[in-house]
Amino acid sequence: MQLNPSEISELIKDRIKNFEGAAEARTEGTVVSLMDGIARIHGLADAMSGEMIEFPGNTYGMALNLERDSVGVVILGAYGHISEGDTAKTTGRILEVPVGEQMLGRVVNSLGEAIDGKGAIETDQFMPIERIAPGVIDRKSVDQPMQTGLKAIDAMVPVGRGQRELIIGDRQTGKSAVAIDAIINQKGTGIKCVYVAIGQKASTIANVVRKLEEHGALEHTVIVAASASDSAALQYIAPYSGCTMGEYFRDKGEDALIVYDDLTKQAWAYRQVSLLLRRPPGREAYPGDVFYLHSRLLERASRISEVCVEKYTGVKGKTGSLTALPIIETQGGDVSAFVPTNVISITDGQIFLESDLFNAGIRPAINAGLSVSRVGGAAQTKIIKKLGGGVRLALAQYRELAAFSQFASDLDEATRKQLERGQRVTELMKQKQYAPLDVAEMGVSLYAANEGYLDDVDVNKIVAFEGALLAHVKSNFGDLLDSINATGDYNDEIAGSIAKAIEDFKANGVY
Amino acid sequence: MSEFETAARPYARAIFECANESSALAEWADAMQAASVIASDEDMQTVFKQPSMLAGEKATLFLSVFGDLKINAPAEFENVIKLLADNGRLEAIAAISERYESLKQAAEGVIEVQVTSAQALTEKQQSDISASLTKRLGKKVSLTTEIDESLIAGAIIHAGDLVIDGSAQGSLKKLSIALNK
Repeated sequence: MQLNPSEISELIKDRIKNFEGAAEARTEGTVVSLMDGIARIHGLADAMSGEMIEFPGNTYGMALNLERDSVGVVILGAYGHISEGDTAKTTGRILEVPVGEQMLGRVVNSLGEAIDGKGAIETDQFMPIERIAPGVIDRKSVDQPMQTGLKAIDAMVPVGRGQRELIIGDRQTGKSAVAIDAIINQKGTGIKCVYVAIGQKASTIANVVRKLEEHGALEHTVIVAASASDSAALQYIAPYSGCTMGEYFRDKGEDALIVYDDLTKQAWAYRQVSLLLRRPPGREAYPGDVFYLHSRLLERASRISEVCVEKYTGVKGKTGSLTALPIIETQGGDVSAFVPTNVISITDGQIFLESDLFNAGIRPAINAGLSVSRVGGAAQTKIIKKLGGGVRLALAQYRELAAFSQFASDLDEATRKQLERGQRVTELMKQKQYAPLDVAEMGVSLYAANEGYLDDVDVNKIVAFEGALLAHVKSNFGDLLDSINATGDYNDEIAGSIAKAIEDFKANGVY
Repeated sequence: MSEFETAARPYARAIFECANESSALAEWADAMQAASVIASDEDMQTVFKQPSMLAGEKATLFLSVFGDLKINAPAEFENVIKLLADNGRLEAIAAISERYESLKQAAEGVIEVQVTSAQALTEKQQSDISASLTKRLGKKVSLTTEIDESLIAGAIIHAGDLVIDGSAQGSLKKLSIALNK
C-alpha cells in the first residue's frame, strides 16, 4: 500500500488529539502462574466475570474463573512475552468486538481485528460478545423464507428467517458447501451474512474467502476466522463474536444469516480451556456447562418484532432476524454422541448429510428421512410449498421401497412406477456447488417432476434435461420467471403457464 | 500468592481471634513478623524440609532462634509454633503472617498506601493525598512514600489492589500504545 506522508501525520495528529492522558485508577494484580495460555492472577479483587484483563505488551485476556485467592484468565492471543510476576490490570469492560456496516467484506479474528491485510476497520461502535438473547415478548414468529438456493433444502427442509437449522454429518459430506451456497444465494436479497470459521485450516478459510469473492458474495459477508493455529480461547469466543456482529444487523431491523463452521471444534476448544482452568470434567471430558455453551449462543438467533427493533435502535416499522446455520461434524455417523444430541435438541431442525449418499453421487447428500425443519414450513413461499410438499415424504418412502424391492423378482405396476418416479426425483434433487437456483427455477423443476414430465426421460439424462429446460425457460419465458420470483404465488394460471413452457421445451429443446 | 495461601487462612484467623480476645494485636503482629523473617532464612527452610528431624526438634530449634531475637512475644506464641510443627506447616509461617497483617488492618480500618513519586512530596501534598484517599476508600490511610525519578513527573498511588497512575511515564506508555494501534 502506498502511504501518503501527510496522511500519516494527519492520522497521528488525530490520535494525539483524541488521546486521554488523565490519571487512571485501576485494580492491579500479579501473575502467579502461567501455563498453556491460562494465567492465574493474585489480586484483582473486583474483577468481573468475563472482564477484559490487560497484560503487558498490549495483550488482553478474559477473566473466567473468579476464585477465593486468584482469578483464572485465558489469554487471547500470544502469551510468550508474559511471565510470572508481571502485573495485570482490570479494564472495567466486558470483552467486546467492533460492529457495523464497515465489517462487511472483511476477514477478522475473534476480537474483530482485520486479518485480511486491507487495513484497519473504521468503526466507532462496539458491542459485548456475550449478550442476552431476546425475551419472549420481543420475539415474532418465523414467517419469511430464507432461500438457500438448493432445491433439496428449500423443498424438503425449508429454513425461515430467524430459524436455527443444524447442518450435521460426517467429515467430507459437504456440510460447509451447503452453508457457502446459502451465503452465495443471499446476494442481492439484502440478507447480511456472517461466516464463523472455527478450528479450520487457514488454507480452507482462504479458499472460502476466494470462492465468496469470485461469486460476488463477499460484499455482504463478514468472515470471522479462528483457525486451527489460533489459541483455544480465540476458537472458543469466535462464535459469540460473530453472533454479536450479526445481531447488529438484526437489531436495526435487517435480516442476517450466520454460519458456525463448526461447533464441534468450538466445544473441543472450550473443553481444553475448561480442563486447563481445572473445572471438573463430565461426560466425554466436557465441562458441565457445554449444553449452555451452545444453547445461549443459538438462542440469540431469533426474529424480533417491530417494537423490539425500535426499542433497540429506534428504527421504526421493521422486524429483524438472525438465522443460524450451525454445523456439527459427527464421527462415523454417530448422532447420539454428546455434542450432536445437545445441538440437535437446541435447534429447530437439522439437515442430515450422509457419506453413503455423497459417495453415490447424490450431492447435496441430504438424507430425506432424518432431515426435518420444525418451523420452516410456515415460512415457505407458496409455490415451493405447493410443489415441493410431497417431495420429502416421497423420497423417504422411495428409499425404503428401493431397499426392499432388491429382494423381489417382479414388481407390480404401481410399485414399479413409484420406484421410477423416486429415481427421477432423486436425480432432480442433485445440484452442483456454487449454482444456487431462484424460486421460479425451482418451481419449474418441481412442477416437471410432479406432473410426470420426467417419466419419459432416461434417469441418467435427468440432470442434463433439467439444465437445458431451465436455460430454455429462462431465455424464452423470462417474464414468467420474473413474475413468480416477484410474488411467489401459485395458482392455476401460473401452473398453466409453467406447463406450457415445459411442453414447449419438450417439443423444441434438446438435452 | 504463596502456595500455602489456603493452608494459612485458618491459622491466621485463629491467631487473629486469639490476639483480639487478649487485645494484643500489636504484640502478635511483631512476633509473627519476626517469625516470618526467621522462616524465610534459607538454612531454616532446609530444616523445615528435613525428614530426619522430629516435629518437636524443629519447633525447639525455631523457638531458640526466636528467643535470641529477644522479642516480647505473647505467651501462646510458643504453642503456635509447636502446633505448626506438629502439623508440618512451619513453611506456611510467612503466608500466615501476611494474612494476619491484612486481618489486623481490616479490623483497625487501616489501609497501607504507597506513593511513588518523581520528586519528594511536601508535607502538605502528603496530607492532601491522605485526606482524599481516606475520603475515597473510607479507611484510615497509612502512607509510605518512595521516590522514583524514572516516572519523570507525577506519582503512582498503590492502595491494596487499587493503583492510581498519574505519572508522566504511565501517560507516555499509554500514548505509545495508542499510536501503535
